[in-house]
Amino acid sequence: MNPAAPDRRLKTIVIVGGGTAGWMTAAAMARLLGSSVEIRLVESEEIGTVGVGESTVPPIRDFNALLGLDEPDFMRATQATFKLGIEFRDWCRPGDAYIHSFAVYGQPIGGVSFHHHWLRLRERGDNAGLDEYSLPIAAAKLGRFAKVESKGVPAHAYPYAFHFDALLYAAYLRKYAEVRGVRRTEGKVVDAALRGHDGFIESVTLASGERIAGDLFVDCSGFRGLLIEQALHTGYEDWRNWLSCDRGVAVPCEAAADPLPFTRAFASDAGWRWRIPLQHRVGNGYVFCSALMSDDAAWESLRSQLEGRPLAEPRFLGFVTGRRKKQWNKNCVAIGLAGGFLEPLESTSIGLIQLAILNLLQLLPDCRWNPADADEFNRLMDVEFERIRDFLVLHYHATERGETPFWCDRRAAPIPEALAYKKDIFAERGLIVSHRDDFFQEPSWLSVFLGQNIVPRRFDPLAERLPADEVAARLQQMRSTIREMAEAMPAHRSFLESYCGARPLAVQ
Amino acid sequence: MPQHPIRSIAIVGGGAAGWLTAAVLGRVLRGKITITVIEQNDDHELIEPETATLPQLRGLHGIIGIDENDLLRRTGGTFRLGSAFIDFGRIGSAYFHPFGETGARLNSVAFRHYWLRLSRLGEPFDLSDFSLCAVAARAGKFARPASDSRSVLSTLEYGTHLDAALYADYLRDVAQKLGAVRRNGTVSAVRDAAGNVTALALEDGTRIEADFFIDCSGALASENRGFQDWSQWLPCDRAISRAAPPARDIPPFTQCKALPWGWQWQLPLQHRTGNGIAYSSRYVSDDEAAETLRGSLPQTSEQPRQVRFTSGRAKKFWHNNVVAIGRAAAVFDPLEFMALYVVQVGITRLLALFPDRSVSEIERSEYNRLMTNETERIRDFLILHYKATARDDSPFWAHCRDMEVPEPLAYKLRQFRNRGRVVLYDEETFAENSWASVFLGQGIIPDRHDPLADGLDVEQVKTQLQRMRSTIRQGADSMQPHRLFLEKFCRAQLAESSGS
Repeated sequence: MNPAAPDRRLKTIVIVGGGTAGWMTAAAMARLLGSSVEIRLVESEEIGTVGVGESTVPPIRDFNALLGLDEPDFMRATQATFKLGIEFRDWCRPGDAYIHSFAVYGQPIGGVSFHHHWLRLRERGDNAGLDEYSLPIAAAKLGRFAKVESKGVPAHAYPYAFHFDALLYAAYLRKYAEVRGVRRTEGKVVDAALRGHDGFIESVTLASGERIAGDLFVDCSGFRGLLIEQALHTGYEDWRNWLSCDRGVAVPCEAAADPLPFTRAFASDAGWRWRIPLQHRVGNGYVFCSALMSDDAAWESLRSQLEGRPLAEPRFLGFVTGRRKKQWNKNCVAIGLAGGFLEPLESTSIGLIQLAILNLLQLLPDCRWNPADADEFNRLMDVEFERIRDFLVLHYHATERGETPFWCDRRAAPIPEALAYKKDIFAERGLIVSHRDDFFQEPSWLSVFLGQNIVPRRFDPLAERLPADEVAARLQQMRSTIREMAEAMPAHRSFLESYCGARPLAVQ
Repeated sequence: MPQHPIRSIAIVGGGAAGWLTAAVLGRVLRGKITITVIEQNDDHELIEPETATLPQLRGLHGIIGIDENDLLRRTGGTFRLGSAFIDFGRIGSAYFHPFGETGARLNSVAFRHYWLRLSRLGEPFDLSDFSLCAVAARAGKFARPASDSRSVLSTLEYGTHLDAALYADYLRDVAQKLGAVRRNGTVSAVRDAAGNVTALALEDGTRIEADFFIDCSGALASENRGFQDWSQWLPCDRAISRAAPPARDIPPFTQCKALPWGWQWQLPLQHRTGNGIAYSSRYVSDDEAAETLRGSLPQTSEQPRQVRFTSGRAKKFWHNNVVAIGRAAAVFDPLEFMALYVVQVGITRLLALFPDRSVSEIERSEYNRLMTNETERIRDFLILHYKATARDDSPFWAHCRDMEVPEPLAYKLRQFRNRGRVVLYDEETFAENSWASVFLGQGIIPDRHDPLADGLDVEQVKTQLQRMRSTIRQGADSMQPHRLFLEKFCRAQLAESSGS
């Protein structure tokens, strides 16, 4: 109550590590904290790295909007394309395919979720696929894109995300942050000094000998967790029993066709492969289980499936799926890979970074360091990590594949209890258990459950109240409206060219 | 996937709970199902004979097609914009828990952080000046929310005060028109080997068979249902009530005033004002409670009603083919008047998980999980009214102030105290604004505000707050007196209750 009380606000925040996590953090802090606090970022520039392409989820648009980014400008600068969803190929059985689009399917009828009506008609012999009730999926299949905002036809509005070059995105945000006062220091962090009485980080020392002191440290240093682990020994929870892939190889290649408005994820012998279309090239990768496949075999498999000439040497990366035991420990908050790793199967890396940043900003501490802030941050992040993990595990669990040791092993592996509960309820009566602030919501779960052939034994009995013919007629109407709308959209490529073409697109 | 739809449901217990359940099921499943309601002698033994409803109930009324003006005419009902709490945080304090928002967010930061910031700078604003519901309540005004989101009147939210017996009668008419069959009598359950109820045997020898059973009275309680006692945190276990003549200017809110060993409510209807005291028998005698009530009311010959209760919930809300709804599911201290909401949430969750004849364990366990969460979050909200107090003038309040509270509430208290953060878990009935109103109203003042609220210049914040305040005042000025509103649209036309 006393205006003369000492100012306990943070004076300096030090972000260790650039890259996407570091620069996203710096940009958001610069935007929201203004000049009330000094924001510094330490990174050592890596020379000659090539972006392999990153796929995002729709909330990235909220993040960009928070920063006030101009969408076409950001897309031009990062070689971005639009993303309507992810196509999963061969996951349940070789030859299968489905698209997870984030958007709702159909519209509820009589207070009952759409998919129950669809299940009811299916039982009566109607074989229209659930996909036919999704405008973004229809558009994706036709290689088209348009923005359908809620102002126009609200029932058909859908979320979208982007594919972009993550290095270019980081560079773009670096410019943004530096203009707004973030001070960047080039250098390699070689040591961290801890305060004697409580073990808080006091400063970091660079190879040059320079010491940078701060109140709050954000560790964006990647897997190794320079501060959160190497300095604070926070500990790591290993989740490889749930998700056994532990290695990846990535390479960009030339595009052989117009960019698709979706990411592709192909189930493979010992893991899965991705394709991420950018404006100027395609990002590719293979995530695999190193106990069951060698680097050479993985690269050979990836190389043989590239759609065009590789544009760089393959890069291999080992990882341990899991999360840091505390995302926030003492005065250090881990964001990005320093906090944990989940394979990019559902493009969650940047989404998790964004969540951590927003949670930190909501819980920004002061120099009294009430532990309640860290407790709340850790509670929120722990839940996100676990729910996303469960969603990923579902892709490996709900499969009929068994032709390789990897798939036999995945299919038979036990799954987390919360996922088992969710799956059982869905399998029994098509109900999707949901929680406050779920990262993946009902349409996403529905898409993967049904896409991987978990079909409910029963549907909501309340769906039976309406005459079947009436429901069939309405569904027919929805399908044809969606088809017409999708067919009226421009090709993704031409939309990109007129909206945000970085330069003439690679393939004519 | 063969479906075996439920063909018949028997509901044990009439009253508002049983008939609301029958009306909603009758409406949603119209023509597909037989519904029988077996009224019980104790159907009207509610803790409070006049009851208050939350805004959410209007949604359920919408589903069954109730015209609210007509409902208020026939139950002598009035409107409520929230509750006033007197002497809870400390003697002499008062706050209003309004429905709807308090203040507008600025730069996506909750209003209370700016309010806190200004208070710290010695510029105290009265929090309730920023809630249209609170300002209108104080002025005795009422209007329904405007649909135009640009109008300040769109920030209004309201519930109602109803005569519980007349409301039950009203719902019975609705349910019977939708095909529900009315019976009465003491029942005993006939169960098969698996424990499922197959029929209800009435005293007169008739049997009522059904596929599925809903217990709104407690008559079908079995060992499996169990009871989780919350009286260590919600110490009131008795209530005494008596009506008084109606107030001249009917207040559009409920009043709750703390006493040294409980609290007293005042709940205005058009034709009378409900008055009652909830108290803890450990800290006061029945006689003293009765004397306190008598002393606060005009003399009449009418005898007060006395009810005993224990706050708590069923351990299993749904077991076999029997679902407990309403007071069979959970009993709450009447603070915040949750009785009808518990009925509502029991019904809507049942609809969302509506079974077929096989009644799978999946549906039951999910229903029980959701109901456990929801009733425990309500429990925590009520406990907060007792726990967050500086009172030490009586053993009752000293107990409340010093008691250990359930961990989820302790966590919420810690988070709010630290930085004004409202933590919400899954299945929360009360939104951020309600929690913040009670925290702040009962004297939990955060150690600091959200630093993001420092993004605006102090003078700017002051100007914004002054603007909000005057917009709200103008909004309240444009509303009609509650009494006039009632006379115009909902003047009471009462029939004798046939329920008792």
